[in-house]
Amino acid sequence: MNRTVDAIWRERAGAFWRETMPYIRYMAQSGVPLVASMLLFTGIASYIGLLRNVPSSFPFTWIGVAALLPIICWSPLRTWLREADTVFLMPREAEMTTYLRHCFRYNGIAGNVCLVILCLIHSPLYVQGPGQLHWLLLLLAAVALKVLNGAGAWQERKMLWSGARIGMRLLRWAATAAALALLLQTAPWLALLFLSAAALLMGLLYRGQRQYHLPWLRLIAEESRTRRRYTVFFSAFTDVPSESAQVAARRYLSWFGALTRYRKEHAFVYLYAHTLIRTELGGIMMRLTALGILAGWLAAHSGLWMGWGAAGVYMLFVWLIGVQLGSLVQSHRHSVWRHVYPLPDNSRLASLLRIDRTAMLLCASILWLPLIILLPGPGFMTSAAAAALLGLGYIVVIRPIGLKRNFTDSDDD
Amino acid sequence: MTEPVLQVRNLTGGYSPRRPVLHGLSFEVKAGEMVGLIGLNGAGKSTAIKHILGLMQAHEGSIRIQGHTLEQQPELYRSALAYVPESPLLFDELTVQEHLRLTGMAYGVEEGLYAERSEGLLDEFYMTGKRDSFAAHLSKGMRQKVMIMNALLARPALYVIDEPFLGLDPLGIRSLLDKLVEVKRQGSAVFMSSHILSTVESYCDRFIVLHGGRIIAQGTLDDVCATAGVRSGVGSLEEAFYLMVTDGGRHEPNG
Repeated sequence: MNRTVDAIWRERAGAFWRETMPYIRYMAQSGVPLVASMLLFTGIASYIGLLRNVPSSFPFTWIGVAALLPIICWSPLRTWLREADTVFLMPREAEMTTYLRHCFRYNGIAGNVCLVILCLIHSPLYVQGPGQLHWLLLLLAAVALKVLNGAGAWQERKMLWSGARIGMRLLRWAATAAALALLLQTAPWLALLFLSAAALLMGLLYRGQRQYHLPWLRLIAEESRTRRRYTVFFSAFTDVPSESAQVAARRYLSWFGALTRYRKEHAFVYLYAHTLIRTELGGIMMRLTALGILAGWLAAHSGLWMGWGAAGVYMLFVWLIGVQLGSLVQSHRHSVWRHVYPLPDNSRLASLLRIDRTAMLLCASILWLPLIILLPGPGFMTSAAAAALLGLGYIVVIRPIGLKRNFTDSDDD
Repeated sequence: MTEPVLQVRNLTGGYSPRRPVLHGLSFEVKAGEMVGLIGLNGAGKSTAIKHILGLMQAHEGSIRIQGHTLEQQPELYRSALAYVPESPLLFDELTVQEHLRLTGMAYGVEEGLYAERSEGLLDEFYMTGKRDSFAAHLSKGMRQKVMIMNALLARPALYVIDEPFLGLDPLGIRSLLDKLVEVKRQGSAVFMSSHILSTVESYCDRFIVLHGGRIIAQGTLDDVCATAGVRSGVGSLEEAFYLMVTDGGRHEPNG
C-alpha cells in the first residue's frame, strides 16, 4: 500500500512521542522536575525582587536582546527523516511539500509558544525601560521576527556551500540582534524601516546562493543529531538504546585524554576519557559548567542569602553535571572489544570510576571559582567552604556507590 | 609434537540450545600455519568465529588457544588472539592513531615497540595521512585497514580474521596478504574466513569447508579435492567447493 506522505509524517511524529514518553516518566521519577521547579521559584523570586527595585543604570536593551535573541533566531527543524528515506521517500520528492508543511507547523508552533511565554515574562521589565513600542506590539514584532528567522534558516539549510551557510546564519543573527535592539529602544518607525530593509537585503542574498531543491542529507543529519541529543539526555536517567555517537574533535580538550599514561591497566581509562571529551556528553557537561559559573557568579555577586544561595546553586550544578555524567556507564557496554581485549573484567568499572571522579572534581573546581572569588570579600567564607566540602563528599563518597550499582545493573541487563 | 595454537574439539553451538547452528566441529590451527574457513552464507562461519572469540558459549565441546580455555584463564586466552571483524567495529570518538594506542595498551605492547610498529603499519597501509582522522571520516576500506592494523600491532599467537578483503582496495589486499605471510613466518597462526576462494587457495596451507554448520571437508587442497571427488593436482579449491555445496549437502561431516 502506498501511504501518503501526510500519513507517514503523522505516524513518525506519533512514534517518536510514544518512544519518548516512558523516558520522560523515568526522568520525572528522578527528581529533576523537583529541582527544576525549585530553581524556577528561586528565579521568579529574584526576578520579582529586581522588578521592584530596578537600578537607574539597568541595561534594558542589552538584557532584552540577550533574553530574546536566542529563541528568536534558533530555528530547529525536526523532520523525522532517516537514511533509508534517500531510497524510499526521495522518489516522492514532489509530494514532500505537504510533509515539510507539517514539519514547519510542528516546529513553528512550539518555538512561538516558547517565545510568547518569554516575551510575557520580559514585558514587566520592558515597560520600565526606554522602549517606545507598546509591549503587546513588541510581542507581535518578536513573533514576526521569529517567523522571518524560520524562513531564513530554511533557506540556509538548502544552501550548497557550508561556508556561505555559516556566513548567512551569522548575518541573520546580527541583523536580528540589531532589529531587536531598535525595537527595544528607539522610535518604532525607525525599527520598522531597518527591519524591512534587512529582510529585503537578506531575501536578495538568499536568492543569490546556489541551493538544493530539498537538502535531504542535511535534514537527515540534523534529525539524527537531535535524536542523539535526546538519547544522551535520557540515558542519564535510564538505559536508552543508543544510536551511533556524534563526535566532535574538541582539540582544546585533548590534554585531558593525554593525561592517561601508556599502561595496560589504563586502556579503558584512555577510552572513557576520549568518550567523555569527544561525544555529546562532553558538550552537555561544558554547557552546564558554563551555565553553572554564570548562575553561581550572579548568586555570589548579589550575596543571595548570605552566600548560601551561591552554595545552593553550586551544589545544584554539581548534581546536574553528575546526573549527566552518569550516562557514561552506558558507553561501550555492547562493544565487542570489551570481550576481545585481554583485560580483566573489573578494569572497566575501575576506569569508569576514575574518569568520573576526575571529571567531576574538575567541573566542581571550576564551578567553585565564583564562590571563592566573590564570597570571602563580604565575609561569606563559611558558605563557600561548606559548598566545597559538600561537593567533595558527593563526588568522592556518594557518587561511586551509585555508579557501581548502575554499572552492575546495566551489565546484568 | 607442538601443541596447536587453536584447538577446537567437538564444538556444538548456536544462539539457542534447541537449534544449534554448529554441529560437532573439530579442527586445529598450528603455529606458522594459515587455515582458511570457507562456506556459503549462513554456513556458520561467523558463528564459529564468535565461539572462538568467546562472544558465544558452546553447548558442547571445548576451545583452547595455546592450551588455555576462556573459562580458566581468560586473560591468557584473550591476549593470545587478535580479531578482525567482517564489518569494521571502530570507536567513533577515537582517531586512527588513538585506536592503535588503545590496542597497544590493551595488549600490553611495550611503548617503544608500539611507536615503532604503529609508524610501520600506518606507512605500509598508506594511512599516514589519515592518522588523525575519525572513523566517520574514513571510507569503509580504510576502516577495515584500521581493524587489520590493530590486529597486526598486537602480534598475538593467533589471528582470527573474518572476511578481511571486503572493501579493501587492491593495495590494501596486497599489504594485508604480505603481512599475513610475514606473521605466519614469524610463527603466528592465522584462521581466516573468506569468500575469495582464489586468494584463500593461494595463501592458506589448509582449508575447512563448512556447510550447514558441519565440516564437510578439511585438510590440504589435495585432501579437499579428494573429498569432493576432484582429481588431485587438477582441480581448484573453487571447483571442489562448488561440487561439495551444490549437491544439497550430501557429503557427510568429516571428523
